[in-house]
Amino acid sequence: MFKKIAVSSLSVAMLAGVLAGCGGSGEGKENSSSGTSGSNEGKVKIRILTRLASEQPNAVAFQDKVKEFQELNPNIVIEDLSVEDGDTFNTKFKTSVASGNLPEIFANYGGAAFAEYAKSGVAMDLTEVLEGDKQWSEPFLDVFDNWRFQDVPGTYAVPYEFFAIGVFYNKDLFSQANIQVPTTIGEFEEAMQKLKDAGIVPMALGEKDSWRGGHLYSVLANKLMGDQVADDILNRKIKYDDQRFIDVLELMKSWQKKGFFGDNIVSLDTTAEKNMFHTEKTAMHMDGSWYIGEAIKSPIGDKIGFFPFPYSEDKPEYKDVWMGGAGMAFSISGTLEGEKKEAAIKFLKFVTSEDAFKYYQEVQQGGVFPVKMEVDPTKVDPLSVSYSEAIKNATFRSELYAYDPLPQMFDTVRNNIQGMFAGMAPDKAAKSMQDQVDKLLK
Amino acid sequence: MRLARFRLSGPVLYLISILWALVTLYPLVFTVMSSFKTTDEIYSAPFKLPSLYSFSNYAKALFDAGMLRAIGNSFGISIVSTLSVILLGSLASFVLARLGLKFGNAILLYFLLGIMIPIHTTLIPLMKMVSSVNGHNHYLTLILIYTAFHLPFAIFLISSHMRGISKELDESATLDGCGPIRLFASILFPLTMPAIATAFILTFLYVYNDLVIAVIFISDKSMFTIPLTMLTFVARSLTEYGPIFASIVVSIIPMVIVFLAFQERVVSGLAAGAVKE
Amino acid sequence: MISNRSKYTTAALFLLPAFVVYTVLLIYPVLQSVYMSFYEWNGIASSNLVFAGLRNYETMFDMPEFWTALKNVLKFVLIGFALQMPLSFFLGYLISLKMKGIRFFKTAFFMPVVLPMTAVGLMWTFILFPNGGLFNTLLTEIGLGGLVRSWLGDTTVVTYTLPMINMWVYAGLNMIIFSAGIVGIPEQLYQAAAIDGATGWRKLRYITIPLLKDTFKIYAVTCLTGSLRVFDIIFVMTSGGPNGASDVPATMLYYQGFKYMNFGLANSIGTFILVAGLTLSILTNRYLSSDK
Repeated sequence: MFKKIAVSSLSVAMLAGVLAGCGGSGEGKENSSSGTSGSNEGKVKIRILTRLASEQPNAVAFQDKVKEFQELNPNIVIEDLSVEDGDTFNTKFKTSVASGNLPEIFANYGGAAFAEYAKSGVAMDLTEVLEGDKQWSEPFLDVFDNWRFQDVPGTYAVPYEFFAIGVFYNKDLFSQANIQVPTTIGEFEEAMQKLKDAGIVPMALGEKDSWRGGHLYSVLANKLMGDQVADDILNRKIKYDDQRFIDVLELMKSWQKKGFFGDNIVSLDTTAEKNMFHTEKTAMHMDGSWYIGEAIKSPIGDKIGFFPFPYSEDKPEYKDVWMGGAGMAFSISGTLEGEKKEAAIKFLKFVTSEDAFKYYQEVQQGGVFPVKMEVDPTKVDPLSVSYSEAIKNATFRSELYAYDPLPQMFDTVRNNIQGMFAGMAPDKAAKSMQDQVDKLLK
Repeated sequence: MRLARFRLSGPVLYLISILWALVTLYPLVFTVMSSFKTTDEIYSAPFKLPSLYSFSNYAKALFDAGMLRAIGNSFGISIVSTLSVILLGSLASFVLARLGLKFGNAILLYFLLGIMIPIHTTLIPLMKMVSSVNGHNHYLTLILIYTAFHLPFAIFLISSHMRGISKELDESATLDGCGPIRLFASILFPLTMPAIATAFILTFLYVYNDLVIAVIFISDKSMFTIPLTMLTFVARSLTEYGPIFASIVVSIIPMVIVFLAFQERVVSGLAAGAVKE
Repeated sequence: MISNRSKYTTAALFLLPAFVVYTVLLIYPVLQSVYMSFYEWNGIASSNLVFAGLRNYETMFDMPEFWTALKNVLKFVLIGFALQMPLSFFLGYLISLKMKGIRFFKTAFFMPVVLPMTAVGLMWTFILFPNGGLFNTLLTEIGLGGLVRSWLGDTTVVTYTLPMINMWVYAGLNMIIFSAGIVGIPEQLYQAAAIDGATGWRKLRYITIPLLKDTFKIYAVTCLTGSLRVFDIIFVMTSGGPNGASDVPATMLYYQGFKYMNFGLANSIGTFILVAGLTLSILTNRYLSSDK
């Protein structure tokens, strides 16, 4: 009897041993890695969660700066939790917020969905920090809108990226179809028809990723309805089934019917869409300034030109309303105090200083950033130069439905647009968006 | 001799096997072909042979991204987790299937509950728990969580097979002076080998491919598993599919070895048939 | 017989480790989420939980999307029983034969489940492209052009496409579950049947299938619970689209919780999956166990 107990407890102990042995190796690793930079005692640990973790130049440039900061500040230990993939980042971020284990610095995109974080003190109000260091905050463009909210005073993030949506085009295909760069929507439609007649897909759209149609919707609404439409959405002064919104959807649907977007719309993803552009199967590609780097490196890099999204002949006053603004931004966790807070602020300033942005531009050989910077045309690619030129007078608005105080509407609008491209009538899609609002407000 | 079981045999079975094998092997062919291509080539000619057999994707995966180390990490974590699932699971199954406990069925049902759990509901409570013990970046954390997650299915599978073995066996073993430990270790465990090997394969597979748990609890690059390492090829601007497919080609080799090794054990458990009720 | 005292000591020692690990790391978190399903919570640790009673459940049952999601699960279940079960059983039977090259076939059949879902998903997307995709091209070639569909882009068709691909992935996995059952059947039974003059199909009908009742039970439970909480394949291939047409409870749970921060609602969906899974499993067990 006793023997039996002894043997069975032994087997349990063995298992525990196996498990513990394993844990030990993990612990050992941690010790040894921190061992290289000396003991952890007396050091401040700052965890950062960004979406800069790939091998692409923009992420590499950021990692370089992190390393530099680490070397300059041996008393601060940076632990990088970054994940670039959107859904994975989202899961990790939301889990951190919900369990009260938020990294000291975290990336986000602001907008109405972020207001809750500002209110609950998840993110720190950076107003004083920005005010207190003019040398650092002065160069920033005025793109803080996404992190300022009506019912909570303060600014809750510092922009790290800047984007503007325009149209990239293949110069060869344009001259082949004998068309000029369009400036108005009328000319744009003519150009697309000519391309179509020449057997070229005018502007493929990878609508399997529903943000593609969402961006087109936002851009067109900006050009047709003006910049106040964002505020109207925020204050619920306009409904999604407003005739003007239906007109925007009708226009998109008519372009789909004419074959301007190609055939596979709802099955085609963004990568496939870009691939069509790179293999000269489509003549235009609507995208943000983040695409510049990839455009240059693509096989047709020297053939790619850029033009602002055409404006409406009837509404020339909205010519300069762009979809754009700050992209990813960094916030500091609202619960920090003392040393940690100081260290986090120091880090934030370091990676968003004018010098840092210059470095990012140098590594990426171009790109546009949320700070006023001298653009040296000899060092920067022509696409970035024409971008910087085009956006000089622009007013920027984010994706429209990001202004909606109901965070669900972000996906609802995108999904219904996808549904429209998959066969739903435009007015039905618009109504279904508004129904969702009504239901959620009930 | 086994062939003679059904008349549907020989050529017909071969034909069906070959047809289905074509359908299931195709993704492997696709993966290998894609592992030599650039992303643009994958998208513009997904079904054509690569235009150029260059190993740059492999170099990127193995050396730049550290896939070899990731395979080591994944393999280690998966083996230890799987072994603990099998050990704990078969011990528990033995109790539930053979000892005729009063509450045996209730406990079995309790374990069965674990099969229905959608993983996302557990993330936040788990994160709280792991943070409270500072368990981030520890293999032990992953191993314990994987063990807990995959125990239910293993118990379900193993216990239902154990129940099928004749009860007379226990009685005669006991009469021969066999204690419960020997009864378990030298009689029932081997007899349940087909189910145990199956549970082994499935648990290993799930743990080896897990992303959600690993991504939340591991941030130390030296501890990255295969799916985490593959994520470094996913950028917001573009996803580099070439190196991803190269990583897949390299990383499935250990999995296939485990599958073959343990699938042999499934079949070699034939003797079990002799005592089935 | 084993003495009672010894029996309980053994039971305790053998059962305890599994019980503890499982309870602490899986049941405890799940109980927390069940608890939270009765509260409204915005997913911010410092925010208060607001007691909501059954409101989250009411919201859930009021959502047309939820019913769509359940219908989609039903399609997974139907295809799982009508097509995937016979296929998996047949494959399990195939690989338990002593055929030449069986190791090759086994590995081949298992391959779809070894490959990560992302790779498999991407491949199927290419194959199923409406225009120029391999599948539709093939259909047109063999004169079935009328069957050409937008397999992932049509809001109705996609809800059948996904369970079919799911079957293709998991047939190999269920194959080994069946093969583990098949090898457990005593050879003597077949020999005896052969002497009585039983032929192939009769052996299958009167020996193999009845003796595999436990295995079919395992399959039934796996299929039901697997369909109820299916997530990966949908997330990878359509993210629930187009326009939510292919959503299932688990993707809704993810979106409600991790995107819209409605953790109360998300947890009630999670609890629903749990309760439905448990109920169906118990019913299956009752229904399939006529003995004892």
